[in-house]
Amino acid sequence: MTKEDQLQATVAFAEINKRADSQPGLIKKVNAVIVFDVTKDGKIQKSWTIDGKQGTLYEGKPKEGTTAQVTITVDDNDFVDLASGKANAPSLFAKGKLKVKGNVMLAQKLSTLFKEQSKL
Amino acid sequence: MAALKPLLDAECGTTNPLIKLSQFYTRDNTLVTQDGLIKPATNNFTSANLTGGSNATIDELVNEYHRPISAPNTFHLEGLLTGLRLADDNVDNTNKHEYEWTTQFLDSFTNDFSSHSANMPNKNNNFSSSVIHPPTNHQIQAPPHIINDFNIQQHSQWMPWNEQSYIPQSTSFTLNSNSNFLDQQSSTIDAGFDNDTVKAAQNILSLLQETQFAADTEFKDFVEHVAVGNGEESTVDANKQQATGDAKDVTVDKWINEFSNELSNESQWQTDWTSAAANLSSLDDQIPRSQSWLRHLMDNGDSYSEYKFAKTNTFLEHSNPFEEGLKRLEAHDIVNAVLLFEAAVQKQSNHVDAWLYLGITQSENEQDGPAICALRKCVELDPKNLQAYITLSSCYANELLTNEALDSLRKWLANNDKYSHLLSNRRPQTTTDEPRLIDELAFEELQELFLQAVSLSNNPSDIDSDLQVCLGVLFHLPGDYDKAAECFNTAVLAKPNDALLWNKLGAALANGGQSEKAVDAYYHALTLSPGFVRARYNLGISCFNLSAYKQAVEHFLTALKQQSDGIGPQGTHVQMSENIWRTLAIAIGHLQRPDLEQSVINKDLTKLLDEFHIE
Repeated sequence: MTKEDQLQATVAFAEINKRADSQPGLIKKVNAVIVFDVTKDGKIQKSWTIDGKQGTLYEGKPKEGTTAQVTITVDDNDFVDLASGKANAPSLFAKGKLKVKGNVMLAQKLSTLFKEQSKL
Repeated sequence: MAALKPLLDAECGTTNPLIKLSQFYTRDNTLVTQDGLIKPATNNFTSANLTGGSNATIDELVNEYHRPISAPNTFHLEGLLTGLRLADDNVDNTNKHEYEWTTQFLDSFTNDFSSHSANMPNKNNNFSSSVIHPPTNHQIQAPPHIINDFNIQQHSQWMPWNEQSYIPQSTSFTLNSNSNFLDQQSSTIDAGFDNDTVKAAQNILSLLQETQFAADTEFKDFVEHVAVGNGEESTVDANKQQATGDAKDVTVDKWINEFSNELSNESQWQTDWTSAAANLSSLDDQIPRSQSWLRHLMDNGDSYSEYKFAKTNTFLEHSNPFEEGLKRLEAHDIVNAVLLFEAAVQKQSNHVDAWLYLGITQSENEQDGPAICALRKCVELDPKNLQAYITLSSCYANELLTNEALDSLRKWLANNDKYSHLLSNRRPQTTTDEPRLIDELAFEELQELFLQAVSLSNNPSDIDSDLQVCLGVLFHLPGDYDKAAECFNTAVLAKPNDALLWNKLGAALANGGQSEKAVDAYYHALTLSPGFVRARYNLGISCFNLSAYKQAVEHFLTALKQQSDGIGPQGTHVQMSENIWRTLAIAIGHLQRPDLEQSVINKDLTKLLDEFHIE
């Protein structure tokens, strides 16, 4: 068992995929290519790509021909908080726990992947 | 002396009035008794004898407590600055104490709304506790603090804080307990004040204008005079002038540093957008504009261009469906209202109001897709329809169509007679219809415009709730849920019986993670409008977030039931919201009831209602 398998983010992403399956078009709503670099102990362990254009979510860096518009670097534990809705991106960012490279406003759309959005 | 004996002697069981009086003067840190200068204590007045009942204005009460203070005979700037320097150390708390005071005071008037005031824990929170109260004259005065604080916070985030292209004018801070701070002696300045002092005074003045601290005080007047350099007789000792000039510079610098530090810390997330915006065009991985436009057209053009009517609608034969629809809406029968409005537009396709109400009601019915269709038809017919734009912006926000939401907000502003002049003062927007990528520049610009609009109102009790809603939606787009909640809160203050506003407030709170407060807001909405499907759906979501899965399921099922009820005797085609079914499925999943999964897939509502004992 490699170190990578111990990432909680793996489970979290599986959940997100499950959600996406029950709601076609969910990932497409993000409408951007977002890459997550999940770190543990300060080093990047694994990456995931959310391809909002294609509507897919997969492990690893973006496929050939796809460029990331936002890259988010976050620790495994913080990612779990983010994904469960316990924390939100702006607050993690303010605490310095989340680094964003690229179009920040696109990153905000991720919240719909993580928890049910309440409707205005 | 004998006469004073009752005062001075201790007596069991009663409070010595002198002691009580002294309580008002001993708590304050900045009390400077030597100079005879006393800063009004920011005490808890609730235990004191408040004048009259709820009819006394805050001003009267404030004045009452200041009357006993003996006015110092000379103007002691040094003492004053000592006080300010001390207050300066807790520059946050000064404002906070004032607001706490007013909050406690106002709390004595509130009833069941007081549950809201329990510390909304957001970072701009100095004023929120005084916000959430039923609207009496007193409380309506609260909003300018928020607005002004917004102006300060937002203003400073998007521009260097010392660049004051607009300063909130509504500094009518009637809750100011400092108003009789100094004595009545006119503040006069010797024309011989040196330039440094004048400059420092100008800095202080601009700082004062921005903050609520000592907004209307004589001190401010004094500083103004210094800044302007009035030459009048001065009673200030010449020696003191020099000393105070220096003291002022120190204080000013300290204020400036603290102020800008606070703001810069809070604004990092948003300031990153401005830099992202600056980099936007240089990013190689941005989609070429032509492509994004095309994709946008493909994605959105189809889904919202034509309204899909209910296949069977028993109201099609109704003689006056629009009027009847309005009546049903009044009676909180949302679902039938939808059908009636559909009938109305099918009868008369250019009926602007029918399309408008169809859109609004579908949105309440948790059907944003049809809502957007209907509202687009409405603005096609009536391009100045403000209500349509404001509803569209919320619907687009819900659908994560950020650019469209920004566009609708801009159109609201442009077509609003009260505020359209603000747009004409700006550089003309590129007139292309080409939809932009999520445009941080557009967002920043709109934010500025809306804040300007808010600052236009000089009267603190005059809240434009629509404007507050727009601002709230605007903040909601990038995920600034706390600020969005504050705006909706203000709107609700102005219109406490508007269920839609309560729902918006709840949604902003919920999306910001404050699920319990959200639940409270939804209950308000549902009390006002029991058939409000969306609010009930949102309530279910909040229960879900609080891990109350069974209750969540119950709420979802109730919402679905309400939707399916409004079909009429013959209709079998049921227009229920996909969102609700989907979330219901997830919630049932958490309940560990695999036996129900099939019912959910089949959308067997009857069985589910039965299973959860919902009438």
